[in-house]
Amino acid sequence: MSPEALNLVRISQLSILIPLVLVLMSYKRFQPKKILLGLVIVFTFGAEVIAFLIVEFVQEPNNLPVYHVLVILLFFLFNRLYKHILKDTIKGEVFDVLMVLFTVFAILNSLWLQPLNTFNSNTIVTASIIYVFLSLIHFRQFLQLSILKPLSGDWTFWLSAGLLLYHSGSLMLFFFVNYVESVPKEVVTASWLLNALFNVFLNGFYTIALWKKSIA
Amino acid sequence: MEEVNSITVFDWVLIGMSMMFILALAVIVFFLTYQKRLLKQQKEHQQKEADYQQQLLRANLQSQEKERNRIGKDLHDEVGALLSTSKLYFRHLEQEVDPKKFFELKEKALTILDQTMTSVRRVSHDLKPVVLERLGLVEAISNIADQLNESQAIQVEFSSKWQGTLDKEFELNWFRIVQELMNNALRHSEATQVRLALNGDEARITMSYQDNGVGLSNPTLMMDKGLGMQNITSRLGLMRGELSVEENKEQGLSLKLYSATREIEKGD
Repeated sequence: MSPEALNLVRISQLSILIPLVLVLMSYKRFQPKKILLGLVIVFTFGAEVIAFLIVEFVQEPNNLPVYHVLVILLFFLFNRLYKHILKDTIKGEVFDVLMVLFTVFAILNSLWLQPLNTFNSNTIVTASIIYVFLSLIHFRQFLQLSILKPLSGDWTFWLSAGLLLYHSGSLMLFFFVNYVESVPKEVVTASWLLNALFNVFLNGFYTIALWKKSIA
Repeated sequence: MEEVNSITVFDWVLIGMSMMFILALAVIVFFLTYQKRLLKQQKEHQQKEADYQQQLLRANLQSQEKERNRIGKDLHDEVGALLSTSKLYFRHLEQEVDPKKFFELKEKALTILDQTMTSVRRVSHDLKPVVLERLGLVEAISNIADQLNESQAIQVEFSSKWQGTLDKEFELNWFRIVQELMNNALRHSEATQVRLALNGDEARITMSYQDNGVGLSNPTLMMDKGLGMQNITSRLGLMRGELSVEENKEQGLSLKLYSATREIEKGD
């Protein structure tokens, strides 16, 4: 990997620190919905730290089991978050059923389809598709408000925008990564670099979301 | 061969990732732009609504002021003048000794006092119509129609199929609306015939008004500017009602008016 590419990966990994600092500084003032987003950031950071420690100190090159757990945890948090955000559009029970189905699917996938030492692309792709749909439904809900308020003033808009951008962009990578063999290293690296760039955007949008107040 | 295919697929993945990202970005920009446009429209609508409300309020205040001036004028020109005259007669009564002249002056003074009482009654009736208070809206409108028919200035045909009940405040508003309509018909429309019909049920009262006058050259403009019409609209608005002008009539003016029959109760 070239030094520039390595820098981008490092920037991408470290970019989570900005929203994390914001969470640690102001979590006491957060409303319940925003605390869920705070937990998303804390868990993501925690998973990255554990994954790093596994590789560096436990001398275990495969840290993928961490991401099997993280996907379910993040899905749970986003599921609860969007259950609140979309309460006027989608019935709460739909989110409860979705949560149960996704958890069962993720566990079955980790046990049989994509074991713990494999990249869990099936679960990640499923979660990404759901996040993309939830973001789009959220935008539609914004347009249906009887009294419109500027979108840019609402923290949940920035959250949905970040999720839409990141998961739309990375969806294809997650989908193909386990199915294409014998690909030159540079091509795979380029794809993951693009993913790292999208991750910087995502953390940027998280930061704006944490900084903005809710007008909903 | 497989490697070449794989490279191609992954190239496509790279392109696809970029395209999907750009597409998502375009969706966000579209939503922001579209919502901004909707916000602008909402703001314009709110501004128009605020202007309209201000216009109605101004019309209401002007109308009140006009009414006060009219009452003041009535009291000053009629009652005041009659009382001044009667005072003069009473002064003469003190000085005169001739019984025949005394009787004559007394009769004149009494006549003037009768006229004064009639004027006071008329002013008072204008302020709070007795017939409305005692017999209700339908009878009060009939009374207006009868008075106008007797004056032969205009022929008013009034019919009512409405048998509901109205809040007292709503009743007075409807009475004022009919007075305003008749006033317009007499002053501006050059109409010789007016048809008034009252309909509705317990929850809603409707009225149709039709005359054979000159009509409105531009109904929308007239609705915006005419103080009388604004007053009617304002009163209807207070009763959760509206006025609409039927523009397709060949001659005269045709209006449809409706309102609720009572205030919304708390908890409704």
